[in-house]
Amino acid sequence: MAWWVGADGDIRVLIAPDQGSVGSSPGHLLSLLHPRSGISTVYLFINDSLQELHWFKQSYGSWFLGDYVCEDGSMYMSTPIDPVFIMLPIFEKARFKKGDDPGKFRQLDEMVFVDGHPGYQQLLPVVEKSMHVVCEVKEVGSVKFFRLDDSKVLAWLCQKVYRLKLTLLTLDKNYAAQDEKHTMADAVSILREYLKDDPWLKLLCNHLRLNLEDLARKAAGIDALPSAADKALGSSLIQENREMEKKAAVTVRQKKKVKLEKDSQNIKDMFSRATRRGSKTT
Amino acid sequence: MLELRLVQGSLLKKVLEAIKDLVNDANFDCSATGFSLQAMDSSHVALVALLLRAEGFEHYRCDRNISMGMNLGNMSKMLKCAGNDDIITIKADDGSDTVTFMFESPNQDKIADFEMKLMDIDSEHLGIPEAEYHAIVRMPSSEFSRICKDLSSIGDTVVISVTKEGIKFSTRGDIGTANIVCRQNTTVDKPEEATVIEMNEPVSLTFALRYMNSFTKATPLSNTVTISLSSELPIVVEYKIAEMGYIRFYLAPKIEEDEDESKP
Repeated sequence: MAWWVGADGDIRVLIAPDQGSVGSSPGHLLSLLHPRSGISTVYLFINDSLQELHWFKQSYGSWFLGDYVCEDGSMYMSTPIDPVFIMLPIFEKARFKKGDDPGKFRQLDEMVFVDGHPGYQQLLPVVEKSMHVVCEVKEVGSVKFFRLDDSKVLAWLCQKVYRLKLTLLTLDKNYAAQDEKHTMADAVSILREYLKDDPWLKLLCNHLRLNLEDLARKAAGIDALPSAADKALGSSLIQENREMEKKAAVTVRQKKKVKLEKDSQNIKDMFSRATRRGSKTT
Repeated sequence: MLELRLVQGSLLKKVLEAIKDLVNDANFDCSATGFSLQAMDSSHVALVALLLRAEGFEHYRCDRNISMGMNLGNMSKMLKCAGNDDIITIKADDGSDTVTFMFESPNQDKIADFEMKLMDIDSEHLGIPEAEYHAIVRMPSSEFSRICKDLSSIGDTVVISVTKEGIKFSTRGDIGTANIVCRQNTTVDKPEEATVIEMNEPVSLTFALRYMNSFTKATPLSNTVTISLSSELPIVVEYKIAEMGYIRFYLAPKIEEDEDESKP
């Protein structure tokens, strides 16, 4: 872990995966569009790995850094993100799909020109490697043309769900005890944060026979604040909320499943009142 | 180390059928006195309390008090695999995160064991006050079940009132209204067919029928059901489990819109 003193004298603490001794470049901060919200968001591109940034702050805390005390106790964490998530909306727009017409094949150099966001061009080397998985590729001479393929995207999404499910089961024994369908819904909820509802989430939910509205409702209850849109350094999601979401998923899920009983009293309150009135308790 | 051997395994099967739709996950508490559970449903309107006393088990070993968090749907799936005449043994080792259900057929020639992962469930035990209820009614459980089912085809709430006339169940809905009165009746061939009403004070409360219909899933456990009502308390619907204990359902009444309605 290292810290960086900015031009304005501010200190930021960033925790990033250890790249080892491969590559010593400090990496670039790129402004890209968030795949779900479309808001300009900062990502870290370092040693051919694209990373998303999370900002985490406890209520009361400061950092001791060497001999120095930094008042701001917040920290940034970068975690790898699959570039396909970032490029999906770009490629989706670029193919000009209309109804049943699958759309046009396009060259990579054209597609990475995104208005106001030159950062995409820096991603070119990784983009070609990643997008093979979800695109049909045609070669004319030495030039490659790409077109996003819905069935390949769906297969890729299903693989993500599968991997997430496996990982979730190892995280917490409560996951192992819950219904497989709920673990799957939890996995899709996590993916939901990186996908637009239309067309990808809808496609995935239809395929897995999940209800999109249920997922949206569950997310609304425990959604993180999408705070920093254009902060100098920092991205939107708060890591803590993610953990809470996993823990709460078991209990919150129940609340949303049962039809809420309006107009009946709360039994816990009734017993508290009765106990306070002085009856003996068992 | 926990080992509880229940010869009449069907009791446990029936218990799970009675509670699995009301509560999704709950802690089973084992102590020297017995095997118990207390859990609210997800809407916090109903509460179920179960007790199976240690004396009712053929073999009861519980070295220290433990709470085992279980997903009741999964537990029910496993118990469904037990035959109605099977002997059921519940086993758990200290520090283990699983529980084992063993089913032995009566002539010992088939033995099945099912292991289930336990959960971490934060639960709070509510203090249930001992109270003098305004009215206590004991009636055949099948009759109570039939009444709740019939009324739910007409409306979704039931007003239960006890007066010197008897116990009255009323509902209203789009198609009309319904009233069913059961009078005290002790002149029957068998004592379990009797309807006995003890009334200290008249009482009338309104409840959501869907919970009642959930409670009546416990009907196979007992021929009779005891209903206790009091104006400031949840209703208690109790099914005794022969020689072993009970399952009690508590339900909070609906918020009264009109104060006068609660006084008959």
